[in-house]
Amino acid sequence: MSAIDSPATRRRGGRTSLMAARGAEKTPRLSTINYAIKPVEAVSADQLERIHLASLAILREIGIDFRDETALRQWREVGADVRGERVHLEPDMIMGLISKAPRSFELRSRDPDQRVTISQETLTFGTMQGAPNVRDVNGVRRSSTMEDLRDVNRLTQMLPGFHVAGGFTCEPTDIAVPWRHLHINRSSLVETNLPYFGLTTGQQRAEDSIAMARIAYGEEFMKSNAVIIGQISGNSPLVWDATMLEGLRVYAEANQVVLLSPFVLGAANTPADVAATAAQLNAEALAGLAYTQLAVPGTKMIYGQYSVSVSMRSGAPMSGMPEVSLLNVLVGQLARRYGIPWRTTASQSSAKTFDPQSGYESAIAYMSGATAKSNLFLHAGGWDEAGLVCCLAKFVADAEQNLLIAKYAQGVSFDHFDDALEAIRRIGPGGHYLGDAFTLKRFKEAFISPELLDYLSYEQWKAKGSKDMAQRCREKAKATLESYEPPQIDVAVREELDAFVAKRQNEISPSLA
Amino acid sequence: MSDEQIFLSELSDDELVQQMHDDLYDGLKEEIEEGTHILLERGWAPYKVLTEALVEGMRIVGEDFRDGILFVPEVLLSANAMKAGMFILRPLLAATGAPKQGKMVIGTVKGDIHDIGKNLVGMMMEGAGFDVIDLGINNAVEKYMAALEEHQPDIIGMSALLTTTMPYMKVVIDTMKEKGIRDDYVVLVGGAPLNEEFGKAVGADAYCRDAAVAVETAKDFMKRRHNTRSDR
Ligand code: B12
Repeated sequence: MSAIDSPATRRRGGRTSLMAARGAEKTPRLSTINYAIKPVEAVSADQLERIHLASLAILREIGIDFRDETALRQWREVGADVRGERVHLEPDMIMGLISKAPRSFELRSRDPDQRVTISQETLTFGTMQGAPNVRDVNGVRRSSTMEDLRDVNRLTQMLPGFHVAGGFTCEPTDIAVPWRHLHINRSSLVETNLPYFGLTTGQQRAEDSIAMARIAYGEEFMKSNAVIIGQISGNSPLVWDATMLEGLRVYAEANQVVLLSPFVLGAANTPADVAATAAQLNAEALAGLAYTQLAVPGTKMIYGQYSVSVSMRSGAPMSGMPEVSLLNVLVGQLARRYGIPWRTTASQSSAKTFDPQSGYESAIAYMSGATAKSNLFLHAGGWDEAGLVCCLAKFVADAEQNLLIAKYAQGVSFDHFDDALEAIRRIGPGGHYLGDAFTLKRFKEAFISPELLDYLSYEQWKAKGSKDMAQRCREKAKATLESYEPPQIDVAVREELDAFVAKRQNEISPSLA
Repeated sequence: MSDEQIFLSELSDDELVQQMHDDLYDGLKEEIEEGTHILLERGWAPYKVLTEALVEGMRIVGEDFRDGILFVPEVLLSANAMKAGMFILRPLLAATGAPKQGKMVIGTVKGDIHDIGKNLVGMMMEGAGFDVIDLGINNAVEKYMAALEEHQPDIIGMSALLTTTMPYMKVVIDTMKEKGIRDDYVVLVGGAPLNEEFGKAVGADAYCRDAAVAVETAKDFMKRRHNTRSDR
């Protein structure tokens, strides 16, 4: 070797400095993930067209119910054929309205550097939602409380695998129902600084959600920036109801994001056929999306869908099934046809514990979403028992899986291709690359090294306490909570949020009667 | 499955009842109607037809559904066949003053539109011979009260799938207490996020985890009711 670097530049400080560097190495929060893989397709262009035309025929000939006076009036005003609650829509009207939707938009966080783009070319992860129960860091399943929701939000904030906080990840069942939404929103804003899901069930809850977001982000800021998402579920078959549509309008009018999710329980509220289920789901989605643009043109929206098949033995929802994977692919193909970002359900399982069933079902759901190029992976954290429990062990496992899926989605890089080919020349037949300069330079980024999946030998694993995945994950959840650092929030903002909650609690009776 | 043609009218009573159990199992509506008529023509009391041919047949269906042998669409067919038989028997039962299987009012509570589970329970209950009045979704306490008054059921069933709507069950039960009518009815509650403990806490008679348990529980309560209230 001719030019050995001078000792002054070669020395790096040995153990002390490497340890310090590794210790400080924190996986940064995922930023916008740009897809570089090509999506798989389940059907040909002709077959896709058949599904699309079937959806339009459903909307024109059968019609769809909008159980909401305001929506019916708005449809009538633009000349739609409204008979009672049933709205019959012409293809041109639907496609015309949908073309007003933005193809790409940003979600902002309280951290000005953390911006996420939602488009057909990007991938975003959000936690699960709606669990009435939690399986806590000790593995105990019980009704979830406000403190559990706060913990889940703390994990969301600390783990790098989430872009969006689920908002109502688990239910604070210890808080009076009419007051719950206030505390859920407060926790999203105080325990995290991420964009998040607000509450949508009815006008009041939606308005309170927006009002609280404005306290934290400022009304001016929210006029041109999206920070909160409203999840609007369709009532399949072919119904959008008032509760949800009220919520939808509140979010749209505040220039925030709406996610419209038709709800497929295959063979229970759709026909027992994958292609026809896609046609119905798509008809419901198109009607909802078109209505959103009718209500507030230019609204940022996501083509949603929640799809499970149904056990014909009991009626129970089943995730991870091949039919659901195929539906994902079909929805991906359809949404790309319309140019609207779309959502999948990332990590769902029906398992009662964080066991192999949970792993299998979730892995399939993840991969089918990724290969179909889904843009919002909802429920990518914690979902077991068909959504009836938020499992904290699974939550941290999913957060790590999100990093792996993000890596996969970003596809194959050619940035280092030539250097790497050089390495092949250097090593030649029979050698190994472990000590090669290129490996040394690239090993950390080139192949991801998960922390929670275990790659020890049996003896090593035994020496470390014979811990299964669930136990390792519970410990990780515990440790993460212990090291929680709250995000920065102005004292004044925090006080205003508290005052808002107090004021609304004064105005709203805690009783349901 | 056999290819040979069976003429129900040529069967002995025992054979016919056996055949009707099979026909119910296979969800054959017309065959059940025919069998019901034949037994009546042979002088069977309507109540005997109901219990021995229909209810017993549906008990077998219910068991095999519970054990995962029969599938939901098949059970619905059976329930439909049962209903057809009931349709013939109902006026006769009323006329002869036969003991009733029982009547149930069922609906999802205020704020809740999840109705798949409730529908399944309603259909299984009908299949077991109960008269079911379905109040649909999103029922306020006033609607339950009006239905109790109008239909005088034995059982009131409430369904909720949301933790935000579950507590409303207590509102309904408390109102029944206030009116002094709580003990006149059996209150059954269900829905995925509920549990036994919750059922007790709101003051229901029972929580049922699924439709099969709902039927068994309802039958159980009806037995006890018949013992204590011979007027019904
Ligand atoms: C299908 C579904 C919907 C459909 C409902 C369609 C319909 N027509 O019913 C739609 C899309 C409309 C919907 C909407 C919403 N849903 Co929903 N939904 C579900 C889902 C996936 C399945 C429910 C189901 O049908 N199960 C199958 C049936 C057969 O089972 P079952 O209902 O439990 O019934 C059985 C037993 O419980 C029992 N039973 C039931 N009722 C009764 C009554 C009596 C008297 C007896 C004896 C027995 C009994 O017997 C039944 C048969 O065996 C559940 C998840 C889940 N795992 O349950 C979420 C779930 C219930 N939904 C949820 C949520 C959050 C919502 C929304 C608020 C979402 C939103 N923001 O848009 C809205 C609310 C709408 C409203 N106002 O009610 C949450 C609830 C969470 C919570 N904390 O309360 C769940 C748990 C999912 C989740 N994690 O997010 N939903």
